[in-house]
Amino acid sequence: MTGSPPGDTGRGGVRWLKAVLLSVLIVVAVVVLFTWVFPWVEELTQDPTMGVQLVRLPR
Amino acid sequence: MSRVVRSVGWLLVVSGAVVLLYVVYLLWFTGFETERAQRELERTWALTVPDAPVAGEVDVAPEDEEIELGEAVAAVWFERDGEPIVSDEPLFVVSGATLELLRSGPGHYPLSDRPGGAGNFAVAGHRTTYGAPFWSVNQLTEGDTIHVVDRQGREWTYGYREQRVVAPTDVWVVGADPLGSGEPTITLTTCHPRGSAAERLIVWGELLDAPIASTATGATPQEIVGEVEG
Repeated sequence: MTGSPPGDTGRGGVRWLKAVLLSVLIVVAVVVLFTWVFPWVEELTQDPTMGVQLVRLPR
Repeated sequence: MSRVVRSVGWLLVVSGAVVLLYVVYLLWFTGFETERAQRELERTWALTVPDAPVAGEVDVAPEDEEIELGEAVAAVWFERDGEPIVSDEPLFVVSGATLELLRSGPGHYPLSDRPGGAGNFAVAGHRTTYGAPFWSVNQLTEGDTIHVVDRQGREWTYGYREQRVVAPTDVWVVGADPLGSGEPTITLTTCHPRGSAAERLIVWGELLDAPIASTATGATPQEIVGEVEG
């Protein structure tokens, strides 16, 4: 009969938790990149219109 | 310690790859998106806008029609001695000049005048991405012409006048009479230098034909840039 050596279940749980955390981190990073970072970079480097800075000033 | 160093190393490698992929997307793949949008605008244009001059039996868009954001306002091309320059094919200009709308092609500042109007017909276009419609607009020189066909099928010819590099906040360039000449004007705004939006390259032309009545609402330059979405 085979079985997990004592302590293996605990290590498996930690590994599983790490995988979940890493997945969440990746999803959050992708959302942040596409929602804020890329549009901001595009506006900073590719905006051919005039006066966006003026328009965004508090009135 | 070595695990931390290895993790940071991987993080940097992945970050570098993401940045590289993003640059590749911006420089090349955005062009496909614009090309597809331009072909769609061309198809719609061919169905609704007659060949110049306007023929009585053709269903011409009325002059006071409401143009939806993202619809084609005009077709623009550039010529030197009868040969096209800047772009091999006419560029379809959409209504509105937000970054979202400019993905389809050059965009008309909605509160600026219409093509052929007595005021200033102002258009923004990308210099490096999204098909880079204004990539080589700096090549225009004295004697070159800028041709604009409006939704009624009328062709307007503007003669190149000058170009200038200005700050992004110099909104006077899209005002009613930016050159102070009192002549009907076309203004093209784009990024400068290529790949950066630190400054703007402005190209002006003046109408060589007799103008039609202005539809500009008398908006100030600040109002014009504040209403790019219409």
